[in-house]
Amino acid sequence: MRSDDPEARSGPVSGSWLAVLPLGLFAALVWGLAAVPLPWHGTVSWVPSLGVNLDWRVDALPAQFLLLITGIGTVVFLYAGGYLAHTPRAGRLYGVLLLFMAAMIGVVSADHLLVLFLCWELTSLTSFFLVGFKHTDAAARASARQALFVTLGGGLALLAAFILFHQITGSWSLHTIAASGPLLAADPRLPAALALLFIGCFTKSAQFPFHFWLPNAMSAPTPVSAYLHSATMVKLGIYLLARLDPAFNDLLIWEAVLVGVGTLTAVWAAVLALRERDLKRILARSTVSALGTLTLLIGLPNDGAALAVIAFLFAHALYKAPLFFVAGNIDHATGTRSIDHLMGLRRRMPWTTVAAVLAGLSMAGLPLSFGYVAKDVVGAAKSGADLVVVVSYGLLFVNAMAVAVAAVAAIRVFWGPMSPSFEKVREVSWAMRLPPLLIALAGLEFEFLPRFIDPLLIQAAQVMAPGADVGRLAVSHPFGSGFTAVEVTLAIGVVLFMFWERLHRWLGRLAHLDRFGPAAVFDALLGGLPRVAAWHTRTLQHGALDGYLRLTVAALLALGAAGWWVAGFPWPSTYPAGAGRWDLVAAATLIAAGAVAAPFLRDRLALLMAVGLVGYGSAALFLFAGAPDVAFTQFAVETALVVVASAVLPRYGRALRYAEPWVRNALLAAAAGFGTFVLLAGMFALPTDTSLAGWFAAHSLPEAHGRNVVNVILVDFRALDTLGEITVVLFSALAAWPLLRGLGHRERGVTTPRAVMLERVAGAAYWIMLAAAAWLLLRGHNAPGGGFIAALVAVAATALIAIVYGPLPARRRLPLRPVTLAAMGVLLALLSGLPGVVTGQPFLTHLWWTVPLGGAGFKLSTVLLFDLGVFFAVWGALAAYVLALLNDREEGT
Amino acid sequence: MILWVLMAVSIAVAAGVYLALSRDLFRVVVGLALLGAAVNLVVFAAGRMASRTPPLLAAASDAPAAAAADPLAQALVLTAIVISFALLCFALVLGARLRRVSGSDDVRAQRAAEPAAVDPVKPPELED
Amino acid sequence: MLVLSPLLVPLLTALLAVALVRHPRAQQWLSVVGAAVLVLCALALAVQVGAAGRESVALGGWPLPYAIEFVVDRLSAALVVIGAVLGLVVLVYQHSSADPAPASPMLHPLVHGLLAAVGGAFLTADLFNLYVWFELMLMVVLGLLVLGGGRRHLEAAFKYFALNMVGTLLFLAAVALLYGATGQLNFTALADAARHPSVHGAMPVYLALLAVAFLLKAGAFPLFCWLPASYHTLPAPLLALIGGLVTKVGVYVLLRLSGQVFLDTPAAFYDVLGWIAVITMVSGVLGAAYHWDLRRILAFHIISQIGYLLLAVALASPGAGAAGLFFLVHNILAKAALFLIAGIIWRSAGHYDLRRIGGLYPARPLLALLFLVAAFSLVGVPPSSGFWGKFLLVQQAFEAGRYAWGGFALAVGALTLYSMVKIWLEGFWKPHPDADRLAIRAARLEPAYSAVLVLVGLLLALGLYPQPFVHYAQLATVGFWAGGTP
Repeated sequence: MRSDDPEARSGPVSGSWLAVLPLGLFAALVWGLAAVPLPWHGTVSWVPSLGVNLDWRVDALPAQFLLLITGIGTVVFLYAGGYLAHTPRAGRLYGVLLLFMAAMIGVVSADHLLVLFLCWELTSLTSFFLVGFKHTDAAARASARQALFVTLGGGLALLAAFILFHQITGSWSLHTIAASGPLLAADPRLPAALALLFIGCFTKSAQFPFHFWLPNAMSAPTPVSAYLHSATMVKLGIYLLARLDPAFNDLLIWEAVLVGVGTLTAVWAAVLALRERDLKRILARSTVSALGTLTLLIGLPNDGAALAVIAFLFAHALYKAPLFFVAGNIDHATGTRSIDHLMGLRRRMPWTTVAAVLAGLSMAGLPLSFGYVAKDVVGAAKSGADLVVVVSYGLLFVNAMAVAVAAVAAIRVFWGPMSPSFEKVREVSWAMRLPPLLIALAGLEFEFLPRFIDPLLIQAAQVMAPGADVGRLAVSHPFGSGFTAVEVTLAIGVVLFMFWERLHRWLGRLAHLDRFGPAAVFDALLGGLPRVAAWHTRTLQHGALDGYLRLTVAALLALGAAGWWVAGFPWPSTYPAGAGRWDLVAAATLIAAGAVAAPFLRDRLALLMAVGLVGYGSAALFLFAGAPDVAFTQFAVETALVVVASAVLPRYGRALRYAEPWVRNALLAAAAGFGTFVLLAGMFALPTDTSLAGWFAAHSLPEAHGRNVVNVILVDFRALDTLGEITVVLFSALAAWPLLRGLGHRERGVTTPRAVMLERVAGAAYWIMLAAAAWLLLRGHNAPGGGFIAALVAVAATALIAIVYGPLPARRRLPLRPVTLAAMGVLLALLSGLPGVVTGQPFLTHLWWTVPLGGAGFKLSTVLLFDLGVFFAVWGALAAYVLALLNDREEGT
Repeated sequence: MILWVLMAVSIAVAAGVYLALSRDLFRVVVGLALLGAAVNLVVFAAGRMASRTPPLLAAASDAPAAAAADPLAQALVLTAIVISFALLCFALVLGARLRRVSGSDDVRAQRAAEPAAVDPVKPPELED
Repeated sequence: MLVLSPLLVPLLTALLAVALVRHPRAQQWLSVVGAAVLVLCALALAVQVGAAGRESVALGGWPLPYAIEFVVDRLSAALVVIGAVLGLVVLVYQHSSADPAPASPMLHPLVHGLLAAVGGAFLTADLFNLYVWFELMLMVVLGLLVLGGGRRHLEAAFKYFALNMVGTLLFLAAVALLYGATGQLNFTALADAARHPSVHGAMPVYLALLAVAFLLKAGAFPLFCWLPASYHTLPAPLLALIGGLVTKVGVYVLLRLSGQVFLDTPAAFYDVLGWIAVITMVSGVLGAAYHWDLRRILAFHIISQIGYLLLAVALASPGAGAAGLFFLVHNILAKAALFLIAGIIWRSAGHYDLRRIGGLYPARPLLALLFLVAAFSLVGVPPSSGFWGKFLLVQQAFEAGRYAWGGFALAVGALTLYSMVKIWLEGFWKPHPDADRLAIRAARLEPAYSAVLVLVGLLLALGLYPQPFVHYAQLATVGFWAGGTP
């Protein structure tokens, strides 16, 4: 962006026209201040259920800020129009800048803590986008990220502080909390709340140790730096501290922390300014230093300090912004900001020079400038307070550095021999010349300005120190008692300016100490996070399923044990008796035998047999314990599982022996077994409540017309469970469909020898088995049987045909394709629940009709339809599996 | 006597857990099947297994059998058996397919969805 | 009958979709129509419940507590609506070219099967019936995982199966033991029975077993191993649907059980739950900080957000329950939006890995804006829905005296910010390594953008005008944990 570009000298461009918005607001504000007495307040309802409404309240302190925001905002937009005249996508920047301005207005006018917080975070967000405007540059991205993390992170602390304040005082209102000093001081949570508040404010206002983000934020375009990072956003922390000062001013912790941190920041930043070569960064450091001074002043307990804060805040904005504009002009015109090269530009850029000198006057605190007035008040506040010597001398040094920086920015850059490469440098466009001049002129102490501004500033100071005498803003008089201090500061400042280069080199030798600085700590944290994350994730997500299972089982056991501990380690008081039940013991022995043998069997088929033994033992147990339906189902299911598993077994190849942590596995297994035993025994020790079982048995015949209570429960009382169950079966086939499809071709293989005898019989056997299935289905309601068992028989029939004739003939004998059959089965079951709805009853209410047929009536019901649905669903789904697996087997595996 | 049943169930749980923690794919599936069978027994045990009589209303009388077994527990077990059967069918087929596709039945060789981490700090290597 | 619609409508759609397996276009139309009908029914149900407060139906016409009961109150109604909206949005997204699921004939039945299972789980008031719907959910998710067909999909499915099977079996065992101890299965009946002095002492054990099973389903530390091992193999729309709903059902059940069924739980239970929640939060966000693949990062964020939800349950008060409901809805929307946006990113920039993409901010400004809204919602930057959720939660934590938990909740928010900023910087601001890649405009992204716009619009509405839903959430959890002593 060099100024030998002819278009750079054109008139105001489109961006500058946006300046009318803040200008209008400024004008409205001025008119309002003149016409309507403060405070102004109002509220808009937003989230009444949480007590969060858009409460706003403008008294003198926010009014001062609003003047700054809108006034400097106007000028910033004007300037930005010129600065970004040839930047692509500048419109996005203007939009974000407007949003920022709105957020700033929101912060200072908000009276509700959460609304303030909202706007606070919005300013951090918009700052992120503004700093990262040149996002293709990695350094800009890094700076934006750093600023965001520090300020948004501090914002979280601020939120915690606000919630605590609300808890202590019961109010969300800022001005109420500011007046609730005694209430707050009495609460033990106050130190924590204050610490969090400090973190929030210090991150925003770049106080030590959170100051390092501000110089890096200078990668933003200059209008942004001037607006956000000198005049408005960074002052927010100061604003909040000033607002809450009335509540906490008496506390020692408030004074100590603010004075301490403020001084440290001010001095530290002033020293670091000497290390910078980039003009903007030097200005940024001096901004941090000024913010430190402001923090320090807020912490001072005497009454004069309030006015000092207000005055200095105002003055700083008025001289810093033009200096940033000057830096931007220089950058725009010459292409560099490094003070190594910049000298003697006054002949080429006269207007900018004038602006720089005027602003520099104010910064140095020379007479005839508002900066002088401000420094005067600050000096008065200092002497009024009882300051530690270190602080006193530190402030002296800081003020002297301010003079030195002013000299660098105003004198060094513009006077002295000019480098020949700057021959072609031209003054910048009017849009960029005017703003610094305007503001710098406003920073001069002309007669008319004090009359307007002084009352407002004094009122603002009174908000900070209610009820106290805040003093007066001195009219500038060159020969007064405060002159001596000014002289001394000036002298030291001039010395520092002359020795700038030497000091810079000397400090450069100490550069290796940087790695202990806050910036390095932040980088270490940011770099350490991936390390910690790596260690953590690699430990937890190692990719070995057996490890995952071990962790899961161990955690389950541990948490279960924790539950046991919370309950007080209950132990079963009695053990179940059950004398003479040798049948159960026999079944249990089968189960135990199978279970004990299984882990030791390496051969897969043997393992399968052992597990099958457990299954059959269970079936026997069910039979002996009075559950014939269950026993038959278990028997059939176990057989099916063993058959299917044997069918896929060859695919698994030889069983290799892997090295496993078998001790750990065994311990976990033993613990699981023990836990199960305790739980079961504990359950048995509790008294039984058989009300449900009794009711089912009592109502099964009269109302549900069934004698097989279990079946009646399945298809009538708790039919939805069964509907869900067959849905699961259906979806099992659907889910396995892509896996089964790839298993083989559809043509019939020719490798299976044909068993001729079996063929003759198979066709007939198929229909006999289907008939048996139908019989089982129909009798299920009154005797052991039912839809599921019938379906298993039907599947066996299908399997028979598939083995003998092949999968395709078997499939043809099904009423529909297997998966469709299953789906239609579920659909049928679902639809069987609808006739009940038609008669005004809930879903799945079964209806019965008696058809007079022969002697006794024949009962028809939707229950049959439901059971039929179950039958088809299970038949279809299992047939899908069986046919696909048998298909595969024919491929000669 | 019933205590023996409870112990058998606990042993089955232990065996199931042990097998499920194995490195061999097939043993994992079988272990989970065994665990499922054991839990089905737990469901049945909730009915207290006190009686031998099935909850069937005799054809002659219309009154419920005295001291019959808990029908609700049986219904629950039936549903549980069917559901775990459906799951296990799927698992067997999945395991078989996985064995064919990955070429190994070692559970620790299943690394396709877990990219290799070559550096202790830097994230895993680039993946698709 | 309307009460049953969240279960029956998707089930019916799934069944009819299976019948139309050989007619893909008809199947797709049926699927979208079914999803739209589900949304309408869910909204009607929510309106009905908003007025009446609670609707219940006893299936089969039998009296309670013998029949299976379906109950809709404000809590389940809100979740059913969000689930339905998510289903419709995902099915619309499926028509785009942004990483759609494979066009298998079983896709649509499976998706509607998932919606049916979720609907059943949200509405049932019977413990064993809940088990059935969880099993259906497991089955369907397995089916969706293997649709991809590749080795990574199969391995992911196997790991998911093994770990979730353990959880499911534990759940079944816990249900059985509870039935054996109390003789009841219905929630209301269980609540009464649990107060009986004879079983009262053993209740914490049974609750612990149930809670652990649901912690596994929800993805809490240290039981979440299955989530990062499997979720990232899913295509974007399925990831949004599954990642957005399945884990949340586990949290919902915990909320329901601890708030309305197990009412006299000792405080130590909630202490342990709270610390598990905190560790989960931190663990999830650390995992996200490690990875560079968008899907993996977002999958770990699911875990982290589950930590927040568990914290809401652990605070055990109606206010915390309201915060939990608000956070649930916000979270489902935000995560689904992010997953869908990730799919569009993949299509536009070519990869899921952040190290291989970039330059999306200048090239795709709308996508950038959508991502910003969704990401800042997740982080909880005001005035987003996430901020209200986190604020409610932290306030409840502070009011209960749990300052450490609240502090962790805020700190994890900062780490979430780190993760989202990483995605923004790498994916949007950094220039693309392959300069010409972004010049190619992918076709058929309109359905994807429409889907994301709906979700982001809802997020914005929830963030800028939260009052209606906050009020609704506060009404929803009135009476939770009443009479209990957390």
